[in-house]
Amino acid sequence: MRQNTFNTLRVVTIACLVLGTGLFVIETTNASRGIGSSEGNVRTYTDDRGEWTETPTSLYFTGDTMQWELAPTSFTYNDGVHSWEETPNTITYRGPAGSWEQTPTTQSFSDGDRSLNETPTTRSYTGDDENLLETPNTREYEDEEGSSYEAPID
Amino acid sequence: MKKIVLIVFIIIVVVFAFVLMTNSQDSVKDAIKDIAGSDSSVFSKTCINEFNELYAVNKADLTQCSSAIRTGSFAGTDPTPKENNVVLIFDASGSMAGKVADERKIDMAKKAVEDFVTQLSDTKVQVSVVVYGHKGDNTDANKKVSCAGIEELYTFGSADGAKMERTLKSFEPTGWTPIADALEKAYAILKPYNTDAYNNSIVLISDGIETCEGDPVAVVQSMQERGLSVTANVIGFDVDDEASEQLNAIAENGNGSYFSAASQSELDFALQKQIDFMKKFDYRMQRVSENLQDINTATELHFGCVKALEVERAKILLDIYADERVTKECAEQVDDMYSEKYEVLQQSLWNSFDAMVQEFKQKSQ
Repeated sequence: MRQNTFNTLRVVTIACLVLGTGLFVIETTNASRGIGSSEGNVRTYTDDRGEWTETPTSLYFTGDTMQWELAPTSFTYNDGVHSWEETPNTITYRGPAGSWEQTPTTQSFSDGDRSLNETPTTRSYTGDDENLLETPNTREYEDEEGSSYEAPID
Repeated sequence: MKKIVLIVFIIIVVVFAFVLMTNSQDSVKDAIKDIAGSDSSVFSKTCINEFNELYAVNKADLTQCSSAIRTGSFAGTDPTPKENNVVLIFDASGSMAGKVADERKIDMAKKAVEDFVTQLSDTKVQVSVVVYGHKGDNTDANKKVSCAGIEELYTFGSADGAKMERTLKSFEPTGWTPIADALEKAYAILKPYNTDAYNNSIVLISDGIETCEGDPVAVVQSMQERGLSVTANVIGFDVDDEASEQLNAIAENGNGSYFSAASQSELDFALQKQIDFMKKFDYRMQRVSENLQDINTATELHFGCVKALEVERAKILLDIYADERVTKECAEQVDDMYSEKYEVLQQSLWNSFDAMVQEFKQKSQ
């Protein structure tokens, strides 16, 4: 009789432990959308949207389609359609409509059909049917038929 | 028997535990639901306060973004190309009565100039026509009269093909070739427009060299020395080598180009190049260039806003999920509230940007 009682209690105890563990696992899984953590100066959070990470010098996100990173002197962004790079001296955009870039002294544009490049001393343009070049002393024009024109300017 | 009892007992315990677990979860859900739906609940107030505090700390200032992008410099800016001023110097000296391919050179030149002006009639180009050689005659006795007979027959103003046609019919070739003084006349016409707002040019059409003792090369050189920013292009029409050399020198010293024409089509082509030159450089290239400055500035502003919004979102999510002081339930409620707001702002930013890019493309054609 005593042995029977002991066996029964042992089985009940094991059953309760199994059930308790199951309850904990189910509770945790259902209640938590993602996992966040903070260790030292680094914080992270991850869920089905992506992963965010913060360090003392950067903050970045990585998702299925979008990634970006912010550093003390730069910011980069890419969502699969648009991309952007920003540094102290250069900004660059690339997207469906074309790409354009700017530095303190230059700017450029290209959309596959046309392009424009400018420096402090020159400016060149390439279009569907013409090429143009402007320098401090000259202007040059050439069209698709091969006609060309050059003119010095002051 | 004992084993059967034990198995039945275990089954009962398992079923009981499962029912208990299910009820427990439902109770939590119901409790949260009830609390969240009640304004007076401690949970709701605490969580909303949590959200407000976090949002106040991390909130990005995006007010400038939406308004600046919608009404940015690009959207409201029309290209402002330089305006073109051109003085045509028309040779009506006696030699222009000569023929090329059975047609008088003067008539061919008039036709080319009339077409040239007609093509400019829908532009902002300002035109003047200075004629020489149409006074007196080509005798020594009337040389003085002829050399002094330099007139602005088409007064500086907008291009009007019909008016130009009348002007061109008003003179005939007869006298000498005072190119230098005609260039001085052109200088006087353009001098008031010597600012950054204008491209000034002179187009000289001549079939011969200076015959009134002037020095046209020195005159075009002195234009630059006197501070006038001008391009002097020269079209030599059916000229000999000597004339070609002098006319070329005028163009070179006038920072312009020399074109040699020996037929109507070559004359037309030479003048067409003047139009191409003005239109292409001063409209298309300038327009793309100015719009590029605007789109670069606006894109930088847009991604500044994207950056601010993404940082705001990151900070809030990290604050609520990586901070043990915030309960899971509250974190998720804050997440839901913020995500709704984030998606609206994000969509708004990209809608504005896409519209702006389309406008840039259209205006840069």
